[in-house]
Amino acid sequence: MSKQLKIILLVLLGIFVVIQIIPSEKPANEPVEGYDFFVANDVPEDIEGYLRTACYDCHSQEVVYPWYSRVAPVKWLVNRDVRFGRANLDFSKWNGLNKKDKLTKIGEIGDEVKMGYMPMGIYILMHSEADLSQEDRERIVEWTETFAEQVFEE
Amino acid sequence: MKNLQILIVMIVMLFFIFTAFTFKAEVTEIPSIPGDKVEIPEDVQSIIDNSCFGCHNVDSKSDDAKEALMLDKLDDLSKAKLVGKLGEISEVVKKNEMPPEKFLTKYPDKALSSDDATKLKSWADNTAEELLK
Repeated sequence: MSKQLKIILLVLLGIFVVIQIIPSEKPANEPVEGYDFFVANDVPEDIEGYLRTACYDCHSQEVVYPWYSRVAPVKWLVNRDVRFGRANLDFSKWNGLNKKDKLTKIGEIGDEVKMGYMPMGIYILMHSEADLSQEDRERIVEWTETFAEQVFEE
Repeated sequence: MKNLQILIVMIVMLFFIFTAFTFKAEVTEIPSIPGDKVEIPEDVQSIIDNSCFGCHNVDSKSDDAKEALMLDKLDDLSKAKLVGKLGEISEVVKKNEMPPEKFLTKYPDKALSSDDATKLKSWADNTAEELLK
């Protein structure tokens, strides 16, 4: 190993160690009893599976943080994505939404899944089980349409 | 050194080519057609025509914009989906997400003033509430 390469590696290692000190608050899981999406809604089993494996890790209060999410710079990304994800849609607080907001969120789920924006590519990279096939996506979109009608009639 | 210069020039060129191909949005100046299910007052209609309709219409060149919302096809949606779409309009306007920043750099006159945003948002919210009654 050349001297230059050794210096570069040492500097990188130093940066890696130093950035661990930078604080980044992990969003805590704070579920509220009775508010979860699956408590009040009768959802087909396959859809429950998709939502739990492909959405719940950012869009709920049941986030499973893997070991690498405690290491910077990954932890910054994970914490930011969970915060942002929950702000847009939190399945654990579903029953606190009014009908208009529920219908808005159902529409957004359909659009995001149909257009391939969700789940995020970076999430699929680390969670291959969340990779939805075209068929899975079509099934979810079809379900959002039926489900929207159900919610509208409630 | 010369190689480095060539590389930089190539990167800059690639950037411009990439931007040209990814930025497809073009403005259509045809006014949207009001429908039966949704009543759009004139002032809201002119805001929509100026800032939204250019991309969110059935002939739009942007597939994503079309997929998300076609303002000339609102009447084809079920009431349930319509409420959802109106909710989405209200949300993106509130969060200042639309029209997209990139689009506004090319067409700054399409930006929503805060007055436009308020009018558009309250129209979307009120129409959704009416549909839920």
